[in-house]
Amino acid sequence: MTHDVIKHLLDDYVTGDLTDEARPPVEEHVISCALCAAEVESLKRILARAAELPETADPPEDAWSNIRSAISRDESAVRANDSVSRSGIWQRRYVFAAAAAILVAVLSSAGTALYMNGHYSGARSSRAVANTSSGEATPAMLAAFTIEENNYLRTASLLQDLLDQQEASLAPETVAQLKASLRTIDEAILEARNALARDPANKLLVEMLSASYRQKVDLLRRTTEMTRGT
Amino acid sequence: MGRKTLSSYAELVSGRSFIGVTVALLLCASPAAAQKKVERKIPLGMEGALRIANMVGSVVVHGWNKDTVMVRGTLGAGDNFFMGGGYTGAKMFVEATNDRDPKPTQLEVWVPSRVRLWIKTATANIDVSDVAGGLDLYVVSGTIDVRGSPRELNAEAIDGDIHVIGSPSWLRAKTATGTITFQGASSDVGLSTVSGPIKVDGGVFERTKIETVTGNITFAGKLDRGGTFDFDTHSGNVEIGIPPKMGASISAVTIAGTITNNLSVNAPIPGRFGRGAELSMEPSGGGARVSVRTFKGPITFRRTK
Repeated sequence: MTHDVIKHLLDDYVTGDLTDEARPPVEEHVISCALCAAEVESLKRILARAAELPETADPPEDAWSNIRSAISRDESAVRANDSVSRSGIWQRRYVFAAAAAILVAVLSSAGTALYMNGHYSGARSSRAVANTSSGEATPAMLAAFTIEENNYLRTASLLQDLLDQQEASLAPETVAQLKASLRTIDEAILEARNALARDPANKLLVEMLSASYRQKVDLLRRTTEMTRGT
Repeated sequence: MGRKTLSSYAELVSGRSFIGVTVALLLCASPAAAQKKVERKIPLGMEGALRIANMVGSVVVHGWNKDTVMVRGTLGAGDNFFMGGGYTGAKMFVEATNDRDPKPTQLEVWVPSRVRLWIKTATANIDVSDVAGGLDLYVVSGTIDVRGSPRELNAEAIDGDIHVIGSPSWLRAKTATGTITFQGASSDVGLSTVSGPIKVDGGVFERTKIETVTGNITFAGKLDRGGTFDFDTHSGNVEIGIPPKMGASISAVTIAGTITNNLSVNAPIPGRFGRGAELSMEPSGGGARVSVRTFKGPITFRRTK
């Protein structure tokens, strides 16, 4: 049996579930293969730790009251946030400017910020249409998005590096399709980013941009996982 | 997925603790030969777990009312087939002689109908019918076809198509460039592509979330009154068909696209800064909540027949 086959059998080897026929070649291989020997040691450690776990574990008695308090805290925070955003045009502009500055640090230049503020204040007063699903992003939402965006960029970069290393195990046609898909997502991200720079308080744009980032990370993650072991 | 570890195998064979699980693996390696036939049987509980890995070729699975797994297949020249396990969990996989150039293996497998099934392939097509347990299906560029009503269905591809006919209670399907078609009904659906189109029609749907980047979305199903329906795309066309006399609370917004409403006399209004469009409709008697959001993809609402 080859290493590739034996590595699938190591868990059964450790738990003693291999048949008499299968055990000797695995045993022999583990002695000579440092990689498999390390895997066996690791599996034994996991097994030992798992054996120490209780069969079942009840949640703490105050679990539900803690969850309820956390929900109440979140609701209060949302209400407070909402009241801040409604407490006057000057205060609102000030908070908005702070959030926009955070966004600008990531997305674009200070010049864009001036454009955004000017464009936004004029447009808001003239806006008479219903503002339901395309509501305005709160400063807190913009700040959270900036953090989220940085996380997405970091994760995407890590996954991309990993995928580059595994690229040889994919068919050239698949690699081409994958690159085309990533390009498609990147173009959508760029378009949405540019739109957000022009209309930074647009909640829908923030959500759409987040969705595009999520799709990119998800595609990279799925491909990386599928490539491993193919 | 990926490298086989104790914990992942434990996850396969047991929902609680893997300490108590005993899996007697019966190894059967066959000598290399050109286009070798294989036919094996092992016992597996009606609600047991089965893992199948076959990189190239095809995997066809049928559910049956026996506590037995039977496989018939044709192996690539020189490749080896392995199958083994116990009554609660089993696995089968093909070892290619040359990993860089694996030969196609065709597997046809009969499994207990309520089995928990996990299949992974690279370019091999997966075809599953009449399995009522949970399905986890992964292909890189093959096609996934599922017929029947599995309890849960998770299907993922990179550039392959996914076709589902039936009524899985819970369905998640993702592909990048491939097409997703779903004909049936479900209480919980999540479908996602990058550029591939998504087409859904059939019976009653409840919680439904469909998203693409550039792929078109077509939905024509019955909306459960308490259901929520979310459709998001960057630039794909979205066409939502709603049956006659069925009310729904609709909220549609596009940043730079258009909205066509053939459901009622309500006209869309211009979006922010006069660009794009928005449409909001509330039926008098309540109904499902439908949300459609696009960046520049056109949105169309119509009545189905």
